[in-house]
Amino acid sequence: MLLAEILEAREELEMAESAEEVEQLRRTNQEKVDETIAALKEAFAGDPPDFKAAKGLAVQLKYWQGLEEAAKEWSPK
Amino acid sequence: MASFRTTLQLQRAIASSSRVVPAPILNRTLVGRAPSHRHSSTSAPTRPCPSCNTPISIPASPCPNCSKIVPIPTGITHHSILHLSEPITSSEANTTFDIPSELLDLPAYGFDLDVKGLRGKMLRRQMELHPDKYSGDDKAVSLARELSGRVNGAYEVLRDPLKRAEYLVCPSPSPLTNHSKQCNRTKSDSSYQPKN
Repeated sequence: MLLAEILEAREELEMAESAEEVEQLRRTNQEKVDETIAALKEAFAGDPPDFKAAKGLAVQLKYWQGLEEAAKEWSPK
Repeated sequence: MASFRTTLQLQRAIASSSRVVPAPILNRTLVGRAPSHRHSSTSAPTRPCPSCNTPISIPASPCPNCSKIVPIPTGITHHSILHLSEPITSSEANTTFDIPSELLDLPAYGFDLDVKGLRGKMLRRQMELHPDKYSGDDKAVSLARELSGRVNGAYEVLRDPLKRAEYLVCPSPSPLTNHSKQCNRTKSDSSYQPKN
């Protein structure tokens, strides 16, 4: 499910034709980053902490941050 | 991050960061967990200062008593290096550390922290450990370099949510910690035993 989401976002970035579109994408992406960080906080706050969930969430965060890096480098074709 | 070449630059950076009100990092009620008493030791463990033999806290350097720069034991958490917490020792000799118990006492296992406050702590430590302070004593200078490098390394990990999460899931294995055993938490998650 996450993979599909990521692939979709990547595709959107590739298809983007204007800086506005990319900006919109970055905003959505930032929300994902924030959500993932909040979920990580929750996973670590468990007693005991949910390390398995945290591991998965860290991978997700890496994906979203990678997308942000790619979006930052976007320039019109 | 920027490296601070002179103590003056550091002083300026500290002055500009002092406006920041540190978040109540140790306020456990923030995460809705009652203060835990998982470990029996009530006071922070100490070690004798290698120079003057006064008992000092594990991450302390320079020694608060004799002001000599002294090594900081390896195997303590990044949180301890930046004075966000105190190590909990897991041996009589105070040379091995119970990292899970230490992190369990922090909000969200040490994940929930205030990055601006962290920066202030990092700058203060860099100030204490700045190699310029020890010029004239080659040994002290190289120790200061090593220790400020460790402070920087700890800061770089803790300031970044991704690196912080990866670190907490699996702190870098060190011969002096028993935490690396827990890094292969796959199906053995249930073997995780919080001490009560």
